[in-house]
This record gives sequence, structure tokens and C-alpha cells, in this order.
Amino acid sequence: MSNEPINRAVRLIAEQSIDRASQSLSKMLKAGASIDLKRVGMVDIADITTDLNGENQEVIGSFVDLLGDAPFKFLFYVQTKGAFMLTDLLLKRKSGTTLQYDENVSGTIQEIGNILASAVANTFANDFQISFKPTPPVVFNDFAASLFEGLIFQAAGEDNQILLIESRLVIMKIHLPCRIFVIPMPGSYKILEFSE
Amino acid sequence: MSNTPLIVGIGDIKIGKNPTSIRTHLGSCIGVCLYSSQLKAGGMLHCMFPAAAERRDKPDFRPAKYADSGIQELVAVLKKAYSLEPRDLTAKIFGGACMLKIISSNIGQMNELSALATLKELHIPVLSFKTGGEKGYQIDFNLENGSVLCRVFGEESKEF
Repeated sequence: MSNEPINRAVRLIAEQSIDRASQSLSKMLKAGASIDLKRVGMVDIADITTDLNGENQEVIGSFVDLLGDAPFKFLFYVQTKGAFMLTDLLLKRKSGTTLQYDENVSGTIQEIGNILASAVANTFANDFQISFKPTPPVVFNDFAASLFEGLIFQAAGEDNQILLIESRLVIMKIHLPCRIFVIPMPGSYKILEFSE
Repeated sequence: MSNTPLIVGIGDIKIGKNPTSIRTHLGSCIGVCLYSSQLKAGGMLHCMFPAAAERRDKPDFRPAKYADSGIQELVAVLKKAYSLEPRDLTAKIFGGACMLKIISSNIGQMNELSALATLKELHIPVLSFKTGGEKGYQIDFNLENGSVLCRVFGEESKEF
């Protein structure tokens, strides 16, 4: 597999997809969200997980499996305290109201994961003429590195390198950084390359 | 102890000597810590799957992804770096959680069983282990005394 054609095609679509995700989220939260596409390309599983292990973050995250012609996996996460701030923002409550992980926090992160994953999936589906069937988002409160392990588990079983689309998102109103990872599964590489 | 720990990724091995610590986070993966108290040296393996089996023949085979080949690799690396033999080493095992229902079956438990079997074959005693559950692990391996500070997410840290 040559990485370059995939990278060029996926980068273009990834940029469009995060623009759409940013718009959707801004609309939902009624607050500006800026998204930066941090990387698109093949990464070594040991290297990327060493980086994340070093960050040592405790987060609340939302997983979505995008099943279909070209299966992807999606993960959105934010630091635990940040998730509390997001919950207050979404529920239009005074910042600092939410102090612990509860069903409101879980519901907020689930909904944001759903919105973002749908935006990403729709862009890839339109531009590559493929279909996705997203699973309901599953929310976890855990170490970021442990969640990421779950995200790449299947892809890493087949290869030492995975195709990773990583974006960093900031909710401007509360200066809150969040992360989005999208992993096209190895079975989808052929479709992405063909579309180039 | 050195302030900045060595960080171990998935399918990765790190070794060191006192004063050093080695850190990783685990989900269903297993972390295996091997230590020589005489030399105050050791290493950590972070493996994903129980057994390498026929994958050993593949050109991109990475031993550290698998519990059986990873432990053998860690032993070989420690021998090369510090002339340590299996008889010089003791083991501690962590991780193997079933935290994501989206990951099939009981891969964590299979990893643990494979690690235990490989250590038995190599006659490396297992001094302690903390495995299972549904939450991730953070482990810090202190090469000054071989202790491992283990924190399961949402719980207090505990020394092993």
C-alpha cells in the first residue's frame, strides 16, 4: 500500500469533515468551536501510544463504531473536569454546577460524540460514495491511553501501523480543549485508495 | 528515582536501571514487569494479544505485541543489556481488564494466562499480580526496589 495517495485523499476529506463537525458542534452548544486537523497518516502503534501514555490524562470519552463498506472507528474525549464544564454549557447552567460524573455528563458526551461522528461519517460517505451505519455512542470515564487502546485494538491486531486522523478541538467560550480520533480500519484502505 | 519515567507504548518494551522508573497505561493489554533485585535493573512489556503463533513467520512480526513472544523478547533484551538470565528475574503482572465491551471476549484474561504460562516455562517466579476488572490501569515500575505502584481508574493507588 502506498501511503501518499491515501494521505492526500483522506486529508482533503478529513479537513472537510472536521469543518462540518465544528459547525455542527457550534450549533449544538451555541458556542464557537475551532478544530485543527493535527495529523492524517500512518502511525506506528508503539509511538502513538507512547505519546498518549506520557500525557497521563483522565478523560470522559465517546466511542462510535462506523460500520459499513469502509469501517471506521471514532473516539471523542475531553478531560474529566472539562466534561463537567461542557455539561453545564449544554444544559445552560452556571459553570461549576456539575461536580461529578453522572447521567447528565454521560448524556452530554454521548450526544457530542454522536454529533461529531455523524458529521465525519456523512462527509466521508458523500465524498467516497460509501455507506456507514453508526453504532450508538458508548461513553467511558477512564485513562485516555486506555480508551485509545480500545480504539486501535482491532486495527493494531492486523498491522503495526494504523491510519490515524487526529483533530484537536477547542470550545472557545470556555477555552476547553478536546480530542477527536478517527481510525479507518485496514479493510477500508483499499476503498480510500481507489477513490483517489 | 529519576523524575521523568520511561513511557511504554503498546507492543513495546522499555528497560532500565536504578534510578529509573517505567510507566504505562493498560486496558485489556497486559503489562509484565521483570526485575533483578541484585542489579536493580529490569524492564516492562506492554502486550496486546496472548500468543504470536504463526505470526512469527511474518516479515513485520513484532514480538512485543504478544504475551508469549514479548516475554521471551524482554528476557533476551535484559540478557543483552545487563547479562541477566531468567533465574535472576522475578515478575509482576498487571492489566487485562475487560473495559470495553466492544473488544471481543475475554482477551485480557487470555493475555494473563499466556503470560503466566510463558513465565512458568522460563522458571521466572511471579511475585504479585493485579488483573481483571472493567477499568484501565496506570502502573509505575520503580527500578530502585522493583515495586510497582498500580492505580486502577477510580481507585486508590496500591503498591505491589
